[in-house]
Amino acid sequence: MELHDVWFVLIAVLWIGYFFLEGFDFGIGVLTKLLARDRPEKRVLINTIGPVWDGNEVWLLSAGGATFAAFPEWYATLFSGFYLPLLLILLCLIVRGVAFEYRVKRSEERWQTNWEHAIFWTSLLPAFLWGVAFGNIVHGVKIDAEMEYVGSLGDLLNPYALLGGLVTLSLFTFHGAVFAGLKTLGDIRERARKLALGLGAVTGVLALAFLGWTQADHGDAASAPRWPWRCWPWSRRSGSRRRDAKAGRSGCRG
Amino acid sequence: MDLALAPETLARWQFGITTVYHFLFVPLTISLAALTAGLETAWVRTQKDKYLRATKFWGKLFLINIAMGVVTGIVQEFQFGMNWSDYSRFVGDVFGAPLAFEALIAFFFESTFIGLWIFGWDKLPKKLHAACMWMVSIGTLLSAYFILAANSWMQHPVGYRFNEERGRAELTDFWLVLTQNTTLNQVFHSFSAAFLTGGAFMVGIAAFHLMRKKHVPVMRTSLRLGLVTLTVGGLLTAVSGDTLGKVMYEQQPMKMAAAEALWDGESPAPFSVFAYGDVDKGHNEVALEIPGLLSFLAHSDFESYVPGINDTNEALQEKFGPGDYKPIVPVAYWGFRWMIGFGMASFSLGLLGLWLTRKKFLLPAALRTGEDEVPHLVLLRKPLGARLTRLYWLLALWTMAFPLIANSWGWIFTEMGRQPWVVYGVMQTRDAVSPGVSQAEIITSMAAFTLLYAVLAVIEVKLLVTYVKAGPPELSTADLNPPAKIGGDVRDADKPMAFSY
Repeated sequence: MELHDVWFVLIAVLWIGYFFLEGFDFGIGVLTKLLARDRPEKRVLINTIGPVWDGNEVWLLSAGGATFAAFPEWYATLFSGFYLPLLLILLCLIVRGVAFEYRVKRSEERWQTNWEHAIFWTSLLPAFLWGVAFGNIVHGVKIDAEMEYVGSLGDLLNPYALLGGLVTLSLFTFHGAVFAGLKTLGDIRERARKLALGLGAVTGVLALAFLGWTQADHGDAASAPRWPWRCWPWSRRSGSRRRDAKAGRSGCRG
Repeated sequence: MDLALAPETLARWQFGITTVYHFLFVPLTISLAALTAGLETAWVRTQKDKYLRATKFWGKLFLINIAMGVVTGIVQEFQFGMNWSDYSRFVGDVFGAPLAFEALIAFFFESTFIGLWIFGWDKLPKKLHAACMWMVSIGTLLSAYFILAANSWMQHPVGYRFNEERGRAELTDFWLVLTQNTTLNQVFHSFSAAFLTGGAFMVGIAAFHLMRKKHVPVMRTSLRLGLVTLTVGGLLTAVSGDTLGKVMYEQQPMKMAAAEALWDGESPAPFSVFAYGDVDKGHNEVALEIPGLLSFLAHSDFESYVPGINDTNEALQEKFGPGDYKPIVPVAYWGFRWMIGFGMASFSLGLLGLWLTRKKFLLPAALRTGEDEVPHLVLLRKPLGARLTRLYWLLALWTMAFPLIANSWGWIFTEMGRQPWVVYGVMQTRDAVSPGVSQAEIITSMAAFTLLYAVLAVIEVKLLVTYVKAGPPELSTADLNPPAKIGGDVRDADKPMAFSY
């Protein structure tokens, strides 16, 4: 493994960590309208992520910083190319962070409900937009020889990427519901669990559709679904690897 | 394209707006974290209620500030890629490293321990709880260190080599980037300025309450702590500013010549108090100067030669080829003066306050005050009259704003004084912008950030004012009986949470 492979793994870990952790934060934000029936329930939900959301968001800064340091070209093309979606994400993250911290700092109901609306929308939009962004990364975007993005905003909103957005949105909301099922008590917990089942099913369908599409567009024999034991090293004969290489396939290791 | 609306100009404006805004919160966060930690430690050691109330009061103001610092910081990291993609491609290998370390080490530190501190009042023994705030404080200092190292590399690039094949700078010595004298001096100067800022903030708010004779025990202690921090911070800012200036005379003579509007080199060179000149012709029309002082500031003797803007420009043209290597002289000149003027005004008020409110030293015994009394302001042997007393408190209140103005101008000066370079001597700013980002996109983002930041500023200031006016909170029984072990007592599982969102 070369140094850039190590960096790539590290960056993958950081982005996965970010989506894993901030994912359920976003989910909780979405659930404040989907699950909570009244303001005390909203407060219960927001409290579940109160101590952790800030730490979770730091993963984004680490992922961004590591991408900048290890793959400046990737960072530069990605951030300047996906300009407006990223701008929207940034605006959401700013408002969202302030909303968590400032919501209880005044007792007026209007002040608090305004911040609650803000928490919902600023959780929903990034949850969707990150999926769109990463859908586009997988899908590939138009860049020129100078590695500048030359597509338009409309190109970023292609059906495949939009499906990616729906996958992350539903996955994060599902994760949020599971998290709420763990962290709350009483009535809201039961409803969170029920909702999680439904959301899990929706997420499963969307994710399967997304993976199927990805396989159809970009996959090859190596990435096709198969029985897992055929991939294990001891089940492979020494000859087959050479044959795969000849046929231009990378086998299970791809 | 019209220069005023060229993407480069717009991107620079956006960077200026978002960075100056971000840096309003940073120094306050750095200093208030340490001051809050100090107050909490005082409470742990002495058990005096006033320290706990002060901790809660300043801790709350700290939290309101850091929230803004954190969220506006995300923009800082992202806009290098968004607006300055060619810069990012060129320097990423060097500049990205301290940025990544900042996030990996410092931000995790900060965010983890801040969560523990906010939610740990009824879950952690008080010593551990106070330790959490110290950890937050270390986190803030570390993060500032890394980003200042990154900026210092832009001021004075070291520890890298230029890879011709890939057309970019590559890191060869990270340790050198972290420890070069530009970094050490910038860190020293920024840290001391941060404590000057926090000290002034504390003094201003304490003065506001003492003027009204409210919350006296807590505010008296805060005033004292604030005055000491302000004075020591101010003194160190001046000392570090002087050493940083000397470093800059070696590394960026143009910046310092512009700071003085010294058009032609002189020996001995005078320090300019006021100047008005013609930038196109390259001379001053009106100038009020102190002879020899600039030579002293640059090289520690009153006779030495200091090169001027015109000489330096010629030298740079010889080195880097034809072009204009002058920054915008009036901005550098006045930025330098506003920085020093506002910073030192605040420092002087602190020094004066420290003398006026002295506890015992050369103070007639009859004028000494108890812990629950507003201190007399005594110039020599008699207290100041009512009007002068009120005037001092008002000035002390206004001094809160001075270091914020000084910090902003300091950064505007150091960044604009480096122009036309983004990385001094290596890359010019016009080559750094994102070629693929349109004018409309930059205008959109600049308008969106400016508008959002303005709205948030109103909200934040209103919130601060509300909490400042409310004063330190009364202590509840839960506050006075912190848990003896981690997680709190199991018997008390039913007691209400001390804090929740």
